[in-house]
Amino acid sequence: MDVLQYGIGRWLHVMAGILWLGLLYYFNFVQADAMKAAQADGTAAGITKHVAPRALFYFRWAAVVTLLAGLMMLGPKIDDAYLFKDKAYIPIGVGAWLGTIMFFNVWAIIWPNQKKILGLVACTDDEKARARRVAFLASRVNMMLSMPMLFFMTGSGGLFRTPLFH
Amino acid sequence: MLRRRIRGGCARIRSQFPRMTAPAPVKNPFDSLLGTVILGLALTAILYYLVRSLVAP
Repeated sequence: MDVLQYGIGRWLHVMAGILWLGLLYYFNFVQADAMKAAQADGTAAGITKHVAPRALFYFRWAAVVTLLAGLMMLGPKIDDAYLFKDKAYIPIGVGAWLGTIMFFNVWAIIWPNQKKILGLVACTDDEKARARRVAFLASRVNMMLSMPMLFFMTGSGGLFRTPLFH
Repeated sequence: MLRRRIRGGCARIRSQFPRMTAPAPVKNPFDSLLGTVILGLALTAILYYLVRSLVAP
């Protein structure tokens, strides 16, 4: 059971997390600026038609796998982490909360708006422009939250361990 | 006469500094990648000190 929970669970969590955040950083560091340049020379369709849908598919499903594997690792300590019941679980609890907020940001804000941008849902040009802005800002919020989230995910086992366990 | 000259002088000075006549629109830090990274670092620092104070023995 431990092998599944901590061995495979941690491996899945890290691997899916790399895929999720890697694509988030791709959207923020590469695609946002590339899209502006592509729109200027009329080649944006290549990105919106062939690149963005594939990237978004792995992006949102990697978020699901990351969250589920993280919850599996927390196991019976899930309430200690999320409700900050145990001091030792506060750092990972903060990381878990930030990751959970990011997950809902992906599925409740970014993806529904991206569907409008990519033309998967019928909408007017005004709605599309608004969806583009909302999805962009939600993506930037996730980019900001990813920094403390990663800090607490990695720090919970190192930086905060010394005063709590020694 | 003097008041009019002063007013004219002030108007001329203002015309050299457009931001004094029209306030610059407030920029959203999320529009800039650097602004987003700085916000992320600031949030990390705030949460670090908050959590450290909570877990301190």
